[in-house]
Amino acid sequence: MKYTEEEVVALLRQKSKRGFDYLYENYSRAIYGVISGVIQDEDDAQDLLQEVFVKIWNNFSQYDDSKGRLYTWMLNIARNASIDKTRSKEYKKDAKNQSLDYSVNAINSSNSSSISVDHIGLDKLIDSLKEEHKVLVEMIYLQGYTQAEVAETLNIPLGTVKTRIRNAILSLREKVVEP
Amino acid sequence: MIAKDIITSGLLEAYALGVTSPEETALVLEALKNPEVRRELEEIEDAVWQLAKQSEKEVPANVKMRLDEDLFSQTETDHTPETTVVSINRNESISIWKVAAGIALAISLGLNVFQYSSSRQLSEQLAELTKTNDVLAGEVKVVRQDLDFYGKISDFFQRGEIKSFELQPMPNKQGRAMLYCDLKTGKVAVKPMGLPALDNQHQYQLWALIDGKPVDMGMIPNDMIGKDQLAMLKSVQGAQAFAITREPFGGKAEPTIEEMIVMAKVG
Repeated sequence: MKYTEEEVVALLRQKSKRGFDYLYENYSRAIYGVISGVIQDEDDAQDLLQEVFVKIWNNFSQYDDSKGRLYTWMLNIARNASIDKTRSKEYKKDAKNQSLDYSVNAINSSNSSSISVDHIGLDKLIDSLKEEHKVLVEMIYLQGYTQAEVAETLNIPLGTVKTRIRNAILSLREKVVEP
Repeated sequence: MIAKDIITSGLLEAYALGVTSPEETALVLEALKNPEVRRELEEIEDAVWQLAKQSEKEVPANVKMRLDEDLFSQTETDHTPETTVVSINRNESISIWKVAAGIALAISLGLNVFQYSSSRQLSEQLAELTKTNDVLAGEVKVVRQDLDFYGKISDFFQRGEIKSFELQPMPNKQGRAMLYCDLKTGKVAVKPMGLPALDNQHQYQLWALIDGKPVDMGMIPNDMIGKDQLAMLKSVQGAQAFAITREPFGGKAEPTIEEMIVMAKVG
């Protein structure tokens, strides 16, 4: 059974378990991938995936389809939750985890992007980008930097950040082909 | 900012990545009214989603099991208690559980008299009682959620300025429904008691007519049809009429006019 995005949204608005199952079946792997890009520990990433789906379910009334697609909303919930987690004190204490400061230093101290991107597909896709775009996508997409933070860290004007975001996504759009 | 400027500004990309400031977000939301901008954003969103799809990772099955337990374990139906359903018969089911618990307790007390010396059996009974207790706790949770909903309903009727409408059958159609609209907040509730039963391939969808255009007001849960229950639907201001259509399950973006079952004009 395949639902359109509108149908899934309608089912979820009615709190239908069928809608939830469909959502999980079709989106959980990608969302898990995004979370794992930020959270390296598998157990933590799985706990967070669970939290994210609880959040999606409980806050579904806040999703407004006039503001964007369903998966954009879910991806942003997942990324914000992951980034909040890495910024939490408890998480930072864990020395195994790469802290944000470390990433910033990594970016500052070398011209390469030394943030680890573990999974195969993502780094392949990101790797295919120009260096200046790669760093930007990693910082924003995987590290949760704001545009202003990127501008400050890379010491480039905010306007340039915006242009680079656009060009980075444009080249992604050229590279990714709809399945 | 005109559409072309927005498109080339990088704002839409930043918006799709969730990194726009509140001011920028407001600007994007305004610009999205333009279909060209909207299409551009959708393409950007698709690209970002493809990026996420590239990193898909298999999820261990226990995550879904934990989720099902967290979100759905207290109900066996398609709807969680959060669904806006007022069950009139709840008291009856409580008393059944009370009786069941009473019987379980009496049986275990009876068993106690004869078998108290056997600690193994005692622990089994303890497990049994714990189970009964769990069932009761689950029941209390459901009742509490119902109470919350009763609270919402009574708020709706007490604080608002409620107008009621009887939706009348269209020619060659059968059925009636009551609609309550709070003129202050625009909140709308429907009592689908008089609507004909549906198979599970279909659902009733409520529409509001605003400036001659139908606006989707949400779906009426199938398990409420024919019952003395209230479905809380979307809010609306300035509706000239309300109508209910029969649609494929999940509803449609535009009403199927031939399947319009009941309707009421406002004012």
